[in-house]
Amino acid sequence: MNPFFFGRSESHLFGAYDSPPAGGARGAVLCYPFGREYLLAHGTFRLLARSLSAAGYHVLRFDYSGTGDSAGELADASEAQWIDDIHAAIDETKDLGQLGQVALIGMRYGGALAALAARGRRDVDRLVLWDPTSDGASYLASVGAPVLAAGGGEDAGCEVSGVVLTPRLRGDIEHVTHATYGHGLPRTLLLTTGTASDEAVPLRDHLTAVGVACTVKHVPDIPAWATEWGRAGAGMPVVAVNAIVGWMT
Amino acid sequence: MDDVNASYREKAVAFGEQRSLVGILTVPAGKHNDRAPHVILLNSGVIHRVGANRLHVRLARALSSVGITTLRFDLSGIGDSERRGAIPSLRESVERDIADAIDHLSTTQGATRFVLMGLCSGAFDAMHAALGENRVVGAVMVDIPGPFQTWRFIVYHLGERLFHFLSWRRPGEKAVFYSRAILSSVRTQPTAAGNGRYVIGGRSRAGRQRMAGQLETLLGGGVRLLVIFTPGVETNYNHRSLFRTTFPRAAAHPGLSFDYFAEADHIFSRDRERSRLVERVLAWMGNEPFGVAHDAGREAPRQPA
Repeated sequence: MNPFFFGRSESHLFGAYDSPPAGGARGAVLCYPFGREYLLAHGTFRLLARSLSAAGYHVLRFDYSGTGDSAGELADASEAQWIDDIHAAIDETKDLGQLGQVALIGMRYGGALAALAARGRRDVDRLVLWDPTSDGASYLASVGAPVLAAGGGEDAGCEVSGVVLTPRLRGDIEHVTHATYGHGLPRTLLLTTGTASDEAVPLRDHLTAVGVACTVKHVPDIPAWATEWGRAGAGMPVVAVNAIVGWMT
Repeated sequence: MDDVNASYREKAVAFGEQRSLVGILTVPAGKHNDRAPHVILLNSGVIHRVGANRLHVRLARALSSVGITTLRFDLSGIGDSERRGAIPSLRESVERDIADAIDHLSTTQGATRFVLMGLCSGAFDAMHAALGENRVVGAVMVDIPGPFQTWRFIVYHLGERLFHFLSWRRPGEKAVFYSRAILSSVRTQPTAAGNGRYVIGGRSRAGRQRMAGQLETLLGGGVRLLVIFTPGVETNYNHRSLFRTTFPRAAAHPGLSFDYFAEADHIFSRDRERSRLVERVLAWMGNEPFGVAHDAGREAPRQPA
């Protein structure tokens, strides 16, 4: 794995690049979930990156602006900025691997960001949505954001599990719906790992209705974004990772 | 490529055996302040190098603004660092990792003196690494796991609840709860001299006399210590005075500074508390007369590979 910074000089992004040991002509950009879920999913993303590189992929996982090791503060972050970051990561991966196309893989809110970034890009050939967020309000409630009165107001910002959620970012997340996953998406894998086997049905129906070629896989496994790991990868969601690698290859 | 900012430059680095350790070097945009040691930030549990709620990133960039270079990195098997091969124990693996980080800063930055900083298991690792490495002249230890479960600990635990009305709504249940708490406190009391039976992230918790000896060895060797506690881990530490009453000699030593963040939780979830912690560390770094540490009682320094 090669750790490095990339992107614009004033707002560089931290990236971790895994090249395929035996060479390869395919690429993937991994889009982390948000906040505490990012911290908890870090080890799983490392496992996914290594598994994909072993399968012949050039893989880049990176920290959005204002998160992880990347430049900036979360207080200045926005959905639009993070979509720009994904575009930069796509371009970087294509450069690193001398590739024409890459896949995007996003978990939870990272799935929504990946879908928004993939729209209309001809160089994104596949999209993996891993337990994607498709109802921003429910998602915010699930991470502990206090419910606001109608209209929200100026004080809609808050701190949630160590993350400063600005009104702008809160609004961005709150607006995530099925419509976030709209027209112009490439071939898509919708992966769910929860106990309910039918939880992906509404989003699958929506994707199908808007003409996206969608495969649904339900593989009950550990929720990577909500589980604290032991050292050295104990208890990783290996079944889910293998399902993604299987679909990608 | 480096991350370039007005007040700092950051570089991703891989170092150690087979370059298996991954970290971020944060260098002041100007020159490193030669009077200040270099700072190494250690993992808290299995949280990768950015720290709990990005605390290490904020610390590193704030320290750069006063001319101090930092390295935040992942211990073997955590974050982006590979697991080491045949290492007999977690402790040896951690010690080698920290020694590799010190060697890396020595080689690439010309660093000669170091401050180790960590929260929880990171504090534990900072103290033990300092005992074996005489290039370490300071340590910042936040919520270090220790033998604080004394009779005072039980008194504070019970005292806080004794007059709470809700505690007496179901007296039967409460009687069982307090009986268990007292028994548990007695059982978790580590032995006086040796390692306790209780561990934190695979690290054996020291007994009272042993940890007192370790702290006094460091202070006697000229190592400056900043010890900070929060009420965030109630089973470890539950009152401001516990450090002073558990380790009276170390607490009275002029080389040790102590603070209690009564409003913080263990992982500094609140932004305001993270800012306070950063300010406290910056003030301490600016005020301490870091010298060349003596090696009295400490092991010989490890030679760079």
